[in-house]
Amino acid sequence: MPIVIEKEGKTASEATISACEDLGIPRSELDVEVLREGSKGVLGIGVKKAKVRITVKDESLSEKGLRSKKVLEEILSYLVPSYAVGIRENPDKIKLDIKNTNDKGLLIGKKGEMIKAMEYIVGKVAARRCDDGREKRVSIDVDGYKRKREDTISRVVRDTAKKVRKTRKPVSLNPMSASERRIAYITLKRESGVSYETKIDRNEKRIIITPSSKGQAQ
Amino acid sequence: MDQITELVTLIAKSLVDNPDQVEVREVAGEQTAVLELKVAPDDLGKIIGKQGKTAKAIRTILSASAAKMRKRAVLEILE
Repeated sequence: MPIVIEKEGKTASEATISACEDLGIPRSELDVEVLREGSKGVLGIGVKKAKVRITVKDESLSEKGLRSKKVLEEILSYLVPSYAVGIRENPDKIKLDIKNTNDKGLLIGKKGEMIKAMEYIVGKVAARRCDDGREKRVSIDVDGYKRKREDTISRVVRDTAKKVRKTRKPVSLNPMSASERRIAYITLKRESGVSYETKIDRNEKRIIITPSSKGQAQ
Repeated sequence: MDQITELVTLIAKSLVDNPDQVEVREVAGEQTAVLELKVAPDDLGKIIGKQGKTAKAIRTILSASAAKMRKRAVLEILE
């Protein structure tokens, strides 16, 4: 379902501009239908406000998604001098990609801590008084950082699994966060000849890759 | 420093039900500034979050914005 809003203004173009600002997307991505032309009236008599109906062309975008983008941009304006935020949505995720910024380190934070904090706050704020897209999770990336991190985790897991198959000895991986372990588990499922367990050590969780008992006869 | 205070105010106001009752006061120290955040009693839970998750996220963003200005700032939530 596309997002449709109606907006009033002194003139049709003024109403359109303010709708663009409300939604945080450019005019080129909207369909505008003028419902009523405004009228200045004579000597203050017969003044009529213009009314337009705006439809967002990209039907995959939800209200929560557009609000998330706006909230994120507002926070970013306090943190970095320049940035661009791209938005893409699928049925369970709102993906916001921060690009063209000169201070990636600040926005990523230690081990992606800042990305997580922004995801949490943006998701919370955007979900308030908002029904459309409520179930979608906000996922923020800074210049492909997350994607690269996922690639690295998969590679380490595959290399370690190879080692375990060869040596038949268990190997413990470095502690990882829940989202990182998720990637590791997905990769491990595709690896044969190994199984895994998770060790909880105080607040940290480590994955231990072990040689599987059955199969893989040498 | 004003920028940091503004950012915390913005985030706090967008999280609570009573934005007009959000107050942020900066207590400047020699090296570290303390930002005292006051909200309506009903909104305290919204600012702190489950197991302090929201408060932690606000603190992370606060530290980043302070680091940008080569300063240190901590958030104090007043009850």
